Amino acid sequence: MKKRLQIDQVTKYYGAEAIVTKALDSISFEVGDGEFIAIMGASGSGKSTLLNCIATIDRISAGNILLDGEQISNKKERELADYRRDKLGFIFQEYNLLDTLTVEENITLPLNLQGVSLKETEKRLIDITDKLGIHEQLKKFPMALSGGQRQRVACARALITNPSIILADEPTGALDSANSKKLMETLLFMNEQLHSTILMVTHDALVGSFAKRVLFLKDGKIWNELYRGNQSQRAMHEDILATMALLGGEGHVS
Amino acid sequence: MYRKLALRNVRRQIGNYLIYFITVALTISLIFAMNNLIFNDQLQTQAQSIAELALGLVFLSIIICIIIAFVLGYANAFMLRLRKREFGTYLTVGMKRKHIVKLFLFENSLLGILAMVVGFFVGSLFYQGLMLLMTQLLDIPFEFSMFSLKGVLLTIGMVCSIFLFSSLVSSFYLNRVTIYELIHGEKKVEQGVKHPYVAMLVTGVSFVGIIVSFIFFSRELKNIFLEVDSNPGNLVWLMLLLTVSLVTFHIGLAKSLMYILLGFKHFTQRGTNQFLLRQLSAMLSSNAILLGALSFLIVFAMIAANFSFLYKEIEEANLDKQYPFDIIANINSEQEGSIPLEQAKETIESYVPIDWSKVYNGYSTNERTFHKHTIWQGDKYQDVDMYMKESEVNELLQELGSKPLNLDNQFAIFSDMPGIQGADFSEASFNHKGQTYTLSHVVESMPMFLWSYFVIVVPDEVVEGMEISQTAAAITLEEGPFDAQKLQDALSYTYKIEENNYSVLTSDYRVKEQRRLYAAAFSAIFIVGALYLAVVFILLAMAILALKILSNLRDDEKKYRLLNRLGVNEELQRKTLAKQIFVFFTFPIVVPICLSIPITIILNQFIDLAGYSAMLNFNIVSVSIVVVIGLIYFLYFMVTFGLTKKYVIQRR
Repeated sequence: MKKRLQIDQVTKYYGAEAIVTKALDSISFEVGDGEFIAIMGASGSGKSTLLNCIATIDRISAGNILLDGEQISNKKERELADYRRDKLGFIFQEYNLLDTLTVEENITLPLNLQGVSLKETEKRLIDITDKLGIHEQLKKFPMALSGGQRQRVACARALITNPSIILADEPTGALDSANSKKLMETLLFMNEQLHSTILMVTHDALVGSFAKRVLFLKDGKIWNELYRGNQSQRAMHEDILATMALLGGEGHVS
Repeated sequence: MYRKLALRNVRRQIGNYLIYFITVALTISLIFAMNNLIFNDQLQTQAQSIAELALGLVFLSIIICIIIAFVLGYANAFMLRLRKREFGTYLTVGMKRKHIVKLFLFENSLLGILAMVVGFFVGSLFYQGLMLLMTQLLDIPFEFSMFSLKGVLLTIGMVCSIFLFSSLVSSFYLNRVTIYELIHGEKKVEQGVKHPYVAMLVTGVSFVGIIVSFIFFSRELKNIFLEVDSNPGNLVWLMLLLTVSLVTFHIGLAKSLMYILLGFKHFTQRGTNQFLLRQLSAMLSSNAILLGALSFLIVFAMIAANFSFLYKEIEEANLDKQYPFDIIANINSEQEGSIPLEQAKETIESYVPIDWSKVYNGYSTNERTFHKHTIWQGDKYQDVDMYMKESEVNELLQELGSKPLNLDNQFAIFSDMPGIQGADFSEASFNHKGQTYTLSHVVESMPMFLWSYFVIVVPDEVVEGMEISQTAAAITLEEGPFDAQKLQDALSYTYKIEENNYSVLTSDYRVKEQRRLYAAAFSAIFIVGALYLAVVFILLAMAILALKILSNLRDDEKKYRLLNRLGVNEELQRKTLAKQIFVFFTFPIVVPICLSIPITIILNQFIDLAGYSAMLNFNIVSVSIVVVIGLIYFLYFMVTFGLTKKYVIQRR
């Protein structure tokens, strides 16, 4: 399997002088093409810090991060902006849609930034919104949509540039259980049918059970790793809960 | 504890309050300078009209004060919005409302006192600057001006009232707002522009309204000068049409411009254009009425500044036309109390020596033959044709340094009235002792020698047998200082109107210097008053725009953070933000700047119609006013952009 993302001995310190916190402690792992990985752990375990470092929103203190074999940890600010634009897709807990733009405009914004032609933009828009079932909502503004619909719009925006990897930060955090389930099915669809590589941070065991692999972080280190393999989602859920219990975490029992 | 918190807040929030503070300090400094000028002893004693107009100027200051109070109330609301979450947090941790109000009022008072100190300091400089301008305009020596106690007290009173009002508004808000609203803010649902086609139609119709108002204003102005039957009231209606059209044009445009631009897909789908247009669409359409009102204020400020300078220029040019000599006498010897010329000369000599004098007459046949060729015909006008001897006119012209006439059995028409342009004397002629006299030429910018719309200058023999209708005298004085006002008073007398027992103060002698001083003082006050109004309006307009942008900092910061995550680099973020602020700032000023062209055309037309085109050129003044407004605008734009950039642009 082709390696999409390589995390090699990544360390991250916060603070200065006397008060220094080690948020990530020599973490190493790899993400293959088409993988769906969940990163779980208790609050303060370093999962969001890790995601922010991969997203280049935060700098690492030591180690290397490679995407598609390209070193990103030493890129300049301007190059990083292009990297985020071309290689990454984002799904956030708070949707992060621009409320002044329509659904259509929100989804096509990354393509505008890439300078993709109008024809190609329209083609990709129809394709992605048909697949995610939000074609009817294109002319609406985000405030007129439900939370679930908004998150599907965020998924469409993340997908439209065909990014190397989609980073999802607690994507179900603002949704109720029914909408959470729907969103996870959408992510699964994106992974299985559209072959997207997804790296998701969550603290919800049920949400984590949709992933093919789950990494558990504790005190900035990888503490455990679960592979779903051929087992059912239910079994994976149970395994995650059991691991979380050992971890002393906050797994949600659903 | 609250005092400490308030002090810390003021120190921490100084960035947010910078625009607010600059505006408050500058407006206080203007009020301070103006109030001191109104009560300045030197001006009060040297220029009588200033003393007469002081009450009017105080009234103007109070009106401006009320406007400032409302704007500051509005500005405070922005500041509250900016700090909603902070106040919400105070409430959730158990702070009582009255303490929050106290905290806010304390902060406001601190800022107010600081602004007053800075305002008084800057105002002292403005005051000396204004005094320099006034003394230049009044042609009196400039000396360092002391503050007037009345002026300082009036300013303190006004500033306290302004702060009291705006604090009351804020306290009212803080006492009523819910914690939820403070923490979560009002959830507004973006719906896009409603009825964009109606907005486009409004824009189009208003644009026509603006053009029509200017065309008809120009036409009506011409009518007033050339046709006596015109109705000056129409100008007021046309100004009203311009005002309404300006406001509705901006409302319509604010609601439709971005909608139209969003239709150009090839443009919008490039980079951050769509984001920018949507940001502007939301900002412009939610502030449409405000932008329309600001645009009107700026146009009004421009017109006021332009007209005040025009008034001064015309007044000066007019003086030479209406007062060709140092003293002009039109002696009404039949009036009881009238001062005979010889007695008047003695009085004048007691003030200043007479250099030259000439008595001349206006003759008439009690007919109105020549009036029939002019606009002053019909039953409304009773004046009869007035003739002057060629030799007497030549003597007067020689004294004025002008070329003498040479009428060879012809006559000339002299007038100081612009309405003479509408007359046609080509058919006019008359016979005298078997000789026919035809028109030689018409002089339109003749100084006023007699009380008449025009005079017919004829060879001397023609007036034989005519009755003397007016006796006038031209007097020039030797150089040297004299109290013109006292001389004018000494040459005045009162007569009684028996029917209603009124006493009327009048004079047959018009002293040019007295008129010049009076007019100069009046136009100086007019200019300073108009500029005061214009600068305050522009400062307030700018402050409102800046505060509008700053009050949205938190929203903008969120949006630009998302853009950053989506891969918009720092430079593109900065460019997008600069465009966003620039368009919002320039939106209400573009039309006023464009309108400076028709305003200048109308001013030049006015100058031309009034017969001063050779003496005045107004283009430079108009351009200077636009440049000054542009500079103030640019300054506010840069400060706002600098502050916004610091908060909004995302770096890692």
